[in-house]
Amino acid sequence: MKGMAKIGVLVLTIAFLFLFPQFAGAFPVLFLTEIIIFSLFAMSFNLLFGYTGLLSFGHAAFFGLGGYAMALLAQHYHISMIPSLFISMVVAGASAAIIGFFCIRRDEIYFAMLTLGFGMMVFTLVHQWRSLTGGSDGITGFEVPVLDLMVKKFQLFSPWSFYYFALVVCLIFTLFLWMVIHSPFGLILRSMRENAERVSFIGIDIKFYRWIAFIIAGLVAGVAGGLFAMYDRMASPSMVHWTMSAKPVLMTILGGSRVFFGPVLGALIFYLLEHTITQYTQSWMIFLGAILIPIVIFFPEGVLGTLISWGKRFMKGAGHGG
Amino acid sequence: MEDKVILSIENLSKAFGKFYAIKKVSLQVSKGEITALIGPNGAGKTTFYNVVTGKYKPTSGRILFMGREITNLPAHKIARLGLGRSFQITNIFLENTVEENILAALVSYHRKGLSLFKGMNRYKDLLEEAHSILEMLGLKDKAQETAKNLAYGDKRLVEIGIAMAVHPKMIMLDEPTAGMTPEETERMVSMIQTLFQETGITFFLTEHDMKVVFSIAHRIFVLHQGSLLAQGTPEEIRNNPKVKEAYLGGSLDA
Repeated sequence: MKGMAKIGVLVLTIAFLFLFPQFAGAFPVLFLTEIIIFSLFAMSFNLLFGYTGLLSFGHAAFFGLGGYAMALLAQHYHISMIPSLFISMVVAGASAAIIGFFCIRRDEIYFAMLTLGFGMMVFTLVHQWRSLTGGSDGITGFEVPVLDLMVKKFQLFSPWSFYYFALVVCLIFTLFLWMVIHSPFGLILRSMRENAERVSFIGIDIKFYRWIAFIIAGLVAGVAGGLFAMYDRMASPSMVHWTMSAKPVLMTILGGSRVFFGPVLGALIFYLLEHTITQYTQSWMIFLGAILIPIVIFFPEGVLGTLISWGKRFMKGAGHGG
Repeated sequence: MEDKVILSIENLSKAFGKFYAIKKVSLQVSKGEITALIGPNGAGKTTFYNVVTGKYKPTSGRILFMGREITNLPAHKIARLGLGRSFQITNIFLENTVEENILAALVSYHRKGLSLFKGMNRYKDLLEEAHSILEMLGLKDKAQETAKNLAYGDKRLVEIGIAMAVHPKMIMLDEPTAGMTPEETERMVSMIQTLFQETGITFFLTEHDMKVVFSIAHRIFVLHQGSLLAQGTPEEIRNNPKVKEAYLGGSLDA
């Protein structure tokens, strides 16, 4: 019964996502593309935060490096979409392997500080290395690579075609994360979140497992970053800035870190709020803060987490009543 | 004779700054027995556990497990060699289900931890093994409960279950009955005896309840101010004047 309800909501959501562009104009389609990309970015962050118990303040490093890799490839090499995206993912994953190697040596606040520090180093590197990255101007003026599916080639210029491409890629990587979380590896991650010391006493090298989780999170963030650079037609230092690292944190806390789709709902709420509030004022962060504070205080499980708890309680109540 | 020894401690010391929590302790644990380590509060029992199982590095001395030196190995490697432990403070995975608590240990033992894409629920053999462990512990009906919702005594059993699930050759229990009601203590003691008889695993435990110690231990070591004060059978320990003095009389007859 519970499983059926979940599957029903999931099928309806995916159906809606596929049908949406059929009756929506360019702006809503672009808007939703960005939400979908950031949902994936936030979910990759949550593999570390919600499932492994590691709070990263530097996740934008991998999002940004994926984006820069993608933009550089598009500017200089003109290879097609899927290989470009794959290389962006590998670049982000390799960077995560190096940075993660140091960060996973500590946990809790020390881990958070290490990721923040590395994130700032990556930002400085990207910002200063003008000849490669264009400095504060970033990389622009490239063409979106062609999507070559062997049997047919697709141009991804229009918001609609890019939307579908981004949607399919994000769904594939969402499935990938879902499988990782529900695997034996995922169980070990969740056990480490609960009690890392105990996990080492059952014979697990916790640093190695954290490192693998860090790399996976980096790979997926790289894909999201690659998509975002194509969506934005630009890779800029803002993609690796620490404020970009804050976005998946905020989205995940808004939506709920203990629920798989929490970060997705968080991303949706984040963008809807931003869109609504910026129509009235430029300082929308004040309002975001004012909304976040009561959520953290009264609904620490996040919006989706709280809704699911209520749903469970309601079902239990109904069960007792009947 | 040598083969009977599973754990051999040689001149083990652990200092925190200038304070020696463990001072030149040498002892040997025999395979297939229940050995107890007792001593007044602050005698260094938990430090002894933490040094032997790799949480702390010893200041000096050697630790041999099944003839192999484990002195400076990290905790996860010692656990892999078959030396399991449980904790004095309940140390389980509270937000996970009871079944998942046991499964995590089984995943580690069966080396499935790096399986990234096959769903946990498709490992029927591991699920079955988890259920048989939970059945042995009398927790089968609570398999799907979140661990934090269990009663205290049940949480302690989950703790033992995690330690047992990694198929240890020897298991070190740190005050398995700490904080328990008399009924819970009785249940835990009979559980330890059942597990010992059914699995033949070497048990090593610390315990403050002397009644428990004298009823289940084959051999007892007494730790006092970081040093080994006495060793022997329960009968010998009961009649040892030095031990009586260390406990200020009385409590040994409890």
